[in-house]
Amino acid sequence: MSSLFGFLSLIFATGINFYLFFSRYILRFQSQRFNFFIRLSSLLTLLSFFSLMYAYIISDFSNYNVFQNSHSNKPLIYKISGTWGNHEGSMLLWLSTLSIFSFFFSFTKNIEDDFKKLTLIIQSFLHILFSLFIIFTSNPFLVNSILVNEGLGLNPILQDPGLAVHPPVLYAGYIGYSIVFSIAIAGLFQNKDDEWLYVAKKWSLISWTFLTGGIALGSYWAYYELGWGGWWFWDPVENISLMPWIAGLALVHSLMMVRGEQAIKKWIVFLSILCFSLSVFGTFLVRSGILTSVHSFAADASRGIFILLIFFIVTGFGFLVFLLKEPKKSNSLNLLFINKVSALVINNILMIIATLTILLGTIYPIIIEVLYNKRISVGGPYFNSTVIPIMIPGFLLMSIAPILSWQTNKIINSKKYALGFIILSILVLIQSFFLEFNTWGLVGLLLGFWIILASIIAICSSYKVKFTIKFFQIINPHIAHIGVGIAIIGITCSSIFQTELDFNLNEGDKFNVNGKMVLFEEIATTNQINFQSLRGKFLFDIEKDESRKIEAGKNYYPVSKMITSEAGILHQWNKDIYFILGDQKNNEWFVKVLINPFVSFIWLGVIIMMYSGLIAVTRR
Amino acid sequence: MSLRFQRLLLILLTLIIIFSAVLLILYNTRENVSYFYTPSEIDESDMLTKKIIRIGGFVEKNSFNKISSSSFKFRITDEKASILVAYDGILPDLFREGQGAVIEGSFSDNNIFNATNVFAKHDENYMPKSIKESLKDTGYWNKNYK
Amino acid sequence: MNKIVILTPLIILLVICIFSLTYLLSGKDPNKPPSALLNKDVPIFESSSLYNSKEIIRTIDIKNKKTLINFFASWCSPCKIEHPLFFEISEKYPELYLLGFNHKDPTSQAKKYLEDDGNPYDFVGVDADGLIALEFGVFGLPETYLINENGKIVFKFMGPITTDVLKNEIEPLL
Repeated sequence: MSSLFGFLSLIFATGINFYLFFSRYILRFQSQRFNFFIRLSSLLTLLSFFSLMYAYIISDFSNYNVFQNSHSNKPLIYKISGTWGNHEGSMLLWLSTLSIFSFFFSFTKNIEDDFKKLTLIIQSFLHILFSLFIIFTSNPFLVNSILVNEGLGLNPILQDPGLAVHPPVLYAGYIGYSIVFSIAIAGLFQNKDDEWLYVAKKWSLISWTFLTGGIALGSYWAYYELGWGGWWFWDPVENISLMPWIAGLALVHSLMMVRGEQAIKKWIVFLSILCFSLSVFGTFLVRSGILTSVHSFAADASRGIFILLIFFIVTGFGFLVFLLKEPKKSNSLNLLFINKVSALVINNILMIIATLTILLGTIYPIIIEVLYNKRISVGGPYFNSTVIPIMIPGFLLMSIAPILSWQTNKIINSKKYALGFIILSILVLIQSFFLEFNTWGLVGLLLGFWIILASIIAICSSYKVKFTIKFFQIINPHIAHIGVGIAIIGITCSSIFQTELDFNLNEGDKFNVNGKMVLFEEIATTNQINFQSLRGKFLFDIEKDESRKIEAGKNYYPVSKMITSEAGILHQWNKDIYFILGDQKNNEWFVKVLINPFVSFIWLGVIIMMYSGLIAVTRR
Repeated sequence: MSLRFQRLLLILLTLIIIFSAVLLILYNTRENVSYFYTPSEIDESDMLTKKIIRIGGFVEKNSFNKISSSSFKFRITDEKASILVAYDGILPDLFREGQGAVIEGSFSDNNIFNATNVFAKHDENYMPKSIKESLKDTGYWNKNYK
Repeated sequence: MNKIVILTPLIILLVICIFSLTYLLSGKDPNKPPSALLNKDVPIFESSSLYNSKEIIRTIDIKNKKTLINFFASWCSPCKIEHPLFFEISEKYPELYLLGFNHKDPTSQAKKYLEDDGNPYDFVGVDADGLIALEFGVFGLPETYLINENGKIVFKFMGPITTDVLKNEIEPLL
């Protein structure tokens, strides 16, 4: 029943969008009614999504999608998250997120009515494309042709809180760019004033913040659930979320130049189109199953072709409008050798090159296979040795960029910075001399600390420190950069200074991890409701009174015959100690211990970046 | 510095960045890309190159051999040819004989493939056993399914 | 000059789309290893009938006739989904030899399954230990192979076959 209801609301929503799209120039809507229809279609789309969710919650197996992907024994939260844990449901989530953005955008006040309508019409157009895709190739409301009383979906890997919230947040980021895209296209059509740039800035900041959160959640999930001790694998699925992120970062920075009244509209429009195109391209790559990935998704060629078509239409349309209606030459850039404008331009160039590099690495296997019929995989080493060197000058630039002036070449307090940099270099050099020396580690640490230090010097010497909202708005760019600096330190330490220790242990053995004695107490097996667990129990730092317990092991899910690894992680502020239980032979267990220094800095840095993303939204 | 000179410097800088980026990409697409083979596609020359490659196939039945708790030997096969693989470390959760796996590593001198990474793929077409049983017990599969 | 610069994204878009489309249409699936068996000889096998253990089928028995081999099991729900299609096939192509391999199934349950859903196969071979499936490189159930008169595998499909697969991929080969 709910399936029928959901399907009908989806059809109605699509119908309204068709109506809006085609009757725009015939009927000349009253503003009030136009907004009403947009909101109605958004609500209907949401209704359709919630009726699917309802079918999941009550385990309505007469719905084929629910039958395939759910099970009545699942905890409620995973029934709910199961709604978007499959292809059809996730596409409906896509559409619903698009609707939510349109809905909120329809309340924007400070732009011209015509402009707003045009933007929403473009949103309607996108809505139509994706709802046709859902209706014709991936309908989640199909009725099960066989009568069953139990579902098939009990994939234990997907039963995880991280994975439950990750897709909606990530989608909010991806699809937020649809608004930016629509605004930019509308701006091309109605090229009157620059007011829309401010609106676009807000929305691009919102989507960028969501995207940051989504990516971070995904990599945090990979860190504690996959049990490989890493948090970023340059997996294609990760790469395609990184591309719009970097492009979005470039967009946010370009929009800064609007404030300096040096609008480089052409470039901003280009980036807006690019961001959304990359988001759609990412959806295409994931959903067509065209990529070899650890996270494999069911593939279906007809779906792939349909999304490819959507990608082609959206991107082609965007760039075609861009080609035909390119903005008039705006006031020229005040480019000096080292002022804010030139720094921002170089930063943009670097980010675009980085995006293209990732794009190339991601689609390179496809090109090679089509051309030479050879299969290749482009993995971590390629990306590490191309993307990182490209980004380094950008990081250097970013430490001083916020204090550069718009008009002149002068850097205020340049002596302070030079002195700070020299002292810092010496300190880092000494430190790396006494610990282990590693060129990349040195560069990373120096960069990270330098960004933080420079930002702090800038805050202290340029502004009076007071605790008002205004103050936090003004120093926000510096705060964001401090976040990046912290994240860089975390990334450098956890990837370069990671230590790996391998042990073959019997129960009761003591072993040394990082100078602390650890006791391998025992192996315990217990029967839980839907799985059996095998746990190695460790006592960390037995010489102290408050020694910490760590459990690492595996879960065996007899229903789905699957095994999942459960790494044991001991979080400390300056390092994570990561226990993985391996195989056994003759009562001897293989235990791998990874010491990941400063992992928590990555998450802290990300949180700071998201915070300043939000603060930036509040500022005009 | 004149304005013109400053801009020239900027453009030069940009060109240098782009040029070095292109060089980086070109170099790395040659060096850091690993090819994917099935066991039967591998010939002598591949064994000699010692380059990092990936091999995809199935873990051969009855070939899995536990040397110690962290060191394993098994054969990977595509039913036409099979290759002996040695691996030290922790096998993925889904690793099983007869299941699909992708192995990354390189050949050693004695033509044993030294794996640095093992990826296993879960087979989604198999139906969980208890579900199929509960389905059968209740007889809910419609007999005249059309 | 300016127009040319602005044209580049469109050109890149076109290139990406053309490559992706070619790739999609070539029917490759990077998540499944390419079958080394395609256009190769049928593996040697020997299997007894589900209904009469004395009745044996060997590779030689399917020489000189087009054969459709289907791996199935009573516990495999996608198999149930494709099952009715085999009736259609056997009706439409009576000269095609339909060989089913029952994969890792207790005999009684396999029999019950074919009783309930009907038996479209000309011969049902038992593959209790899954060794024949291993020979064929079966990745997961169901899986279907088409063998031509010369004993070469000309088509292989993983997962339940659909009307589309039947029409677009199997029928042209018949």
